[in-house]
Amino acid sequence: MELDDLKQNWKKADQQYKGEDYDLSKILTAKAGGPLDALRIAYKRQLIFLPATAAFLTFICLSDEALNYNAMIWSAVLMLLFLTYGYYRNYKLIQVMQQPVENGIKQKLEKDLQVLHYNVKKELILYRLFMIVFIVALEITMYYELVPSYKGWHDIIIPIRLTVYALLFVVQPYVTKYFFKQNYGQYISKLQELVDQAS
Amino acid sequence: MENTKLHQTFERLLKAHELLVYKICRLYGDTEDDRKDLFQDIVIQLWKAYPKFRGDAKFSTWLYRIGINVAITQFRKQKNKIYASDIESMNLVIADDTYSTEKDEQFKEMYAAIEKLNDIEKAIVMLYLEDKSYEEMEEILGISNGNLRVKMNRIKEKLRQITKN
Repeated sequence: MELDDLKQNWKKADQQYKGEDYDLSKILTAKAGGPLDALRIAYKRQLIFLPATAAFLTFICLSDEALNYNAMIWSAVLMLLFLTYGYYRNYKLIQVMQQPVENGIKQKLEKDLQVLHYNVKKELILYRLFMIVFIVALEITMYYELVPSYKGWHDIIIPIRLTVYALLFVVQPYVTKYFFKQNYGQYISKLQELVDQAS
Repeated sequence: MENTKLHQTFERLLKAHELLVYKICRLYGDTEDDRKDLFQDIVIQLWKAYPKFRGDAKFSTWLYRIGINVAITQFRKQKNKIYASDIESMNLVIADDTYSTEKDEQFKEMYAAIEKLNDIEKAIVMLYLEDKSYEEMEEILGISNGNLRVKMNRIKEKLRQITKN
């Protein structure tokens, strides 16, 4: 049997189709169950949880005089806000990928893949910059002995501290890529596979 | 008021074209539950995209684009792929009294062979069976006319090989 022979049978579906039994209003209020939607929902949760935690810590620091200058808590607040920004970017990324197809499907697949690759590069740079700022701020704080809670770290000799920072720089791209892959890895592979199939 | 009107127009258009959605679901969903979920996901995406539908392309072309895109990129199947065990329900319509049992078997084999194609090949086959011209297929899939013809020949050969084995 050839594919052309199947055309007649395929067309019979048109005649024999009796219509799906569904409630459109119910469908439209339901949540889509795709992997992108699952990620979007997870990010949305983080976008509420992280700033709320940051706000709670800020409130604790400000309301208790003993904690007013606790660098550890303020660092955590800073980190939480930075993470919030990271999740916000990812949330936006999902929204871009969920845009409807405007041209051909192949173009949409290529565009999504490009957006994802561009995003992973941008994320690597962003986290690296954050790390530099954090290390410089930490060193300045310790140099001027502004925060007593950093004394332990300050007592460690500079070559060891520098080695730790260097190690962080080496490890950071792998960690960032790992988390990106955890979230988008399968999706990137799938998109790449589809682009290859369409080429 | 505007939204109600939009909803009504969308509902009317969807009703008129729901068979296309159903066919996409049949082709990409392995089980009945898969198909129901996919139907829902496609309808949701169509509804989300509908306000941006400008009518540059035919509604059916627009629907195919969104439907196939959802099926191949945004749909998470509930179970692993099932080939042989679910062949009966995968067939769109196996013709009734018009065909002999032997013919039915051949149709089943062919549908089962189509199931083994990759996602893009399935989309090409579906549009081919729908009698779409290569120009329309190009508009939907974004694959050039020449490339589509080459792919079609390869798919036919692939199906021949699969059914032969």
